[in-house]
Amino acid sequence: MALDRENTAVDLVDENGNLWNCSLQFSETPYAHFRIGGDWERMVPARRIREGASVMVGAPAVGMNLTLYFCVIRH
Amino acid sequence: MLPMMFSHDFGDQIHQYATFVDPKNNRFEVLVERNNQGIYLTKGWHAIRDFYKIGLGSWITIVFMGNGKFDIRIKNRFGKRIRYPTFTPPMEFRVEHNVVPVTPDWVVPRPFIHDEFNFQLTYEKRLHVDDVTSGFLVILFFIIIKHYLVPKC
Repeated sequence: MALDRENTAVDLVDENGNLWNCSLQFSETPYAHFRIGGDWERMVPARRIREGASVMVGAPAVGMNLTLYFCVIRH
Repeated sequence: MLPMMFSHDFGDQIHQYATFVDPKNNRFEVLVERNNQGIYLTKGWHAIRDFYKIGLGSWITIVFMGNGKFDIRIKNRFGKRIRYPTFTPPMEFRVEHNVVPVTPDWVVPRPFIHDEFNFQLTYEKRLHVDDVTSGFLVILFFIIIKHYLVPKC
């Protein structure tokens, strides 16, 4: 996925077609990773997303991914 | 699908998106599609099902308030009123506006599903406790690079 380290925002579209405006932070400590925040915090209780559930994040193969698509896979 | 009688009387007052509001002021934006049979509620409608954990046989009362807005009341399959989740501020579900399907008059609109094109590259993660309590979803950088270089077939 072509997330840009310089980007500070990313939109998530869930399997219901709902849009969530999320913040995006890149950090190299303690390891290189992105942190997706913003509406993610609201989405977790709204969609009853629990620890142990899986999420699949998808994107088209071309272009910058300012919008990511995702599904919640419950276990 | 909204009843034909309603579509005839109020269809001109409903535009591309409608808003449904529950007694706790939680709001759902839903895409409105039309054909020559009537008005269909598509993208965003399933959020109502998931939010209230309702299934087949449940009842929803929709009251048109004008200006594309509806009040909703929900009962389970046994006719018992459900508990409406409380959030501060109230939850607001919006739908993506960038992609709007074009439905010919003779075709029944389809419920929203993801376009496979948007999953050419995928990354799956099992959520850790921090992902659901800290307010942040952590995605490892090297995985993103790996998937970028080796697209899933």
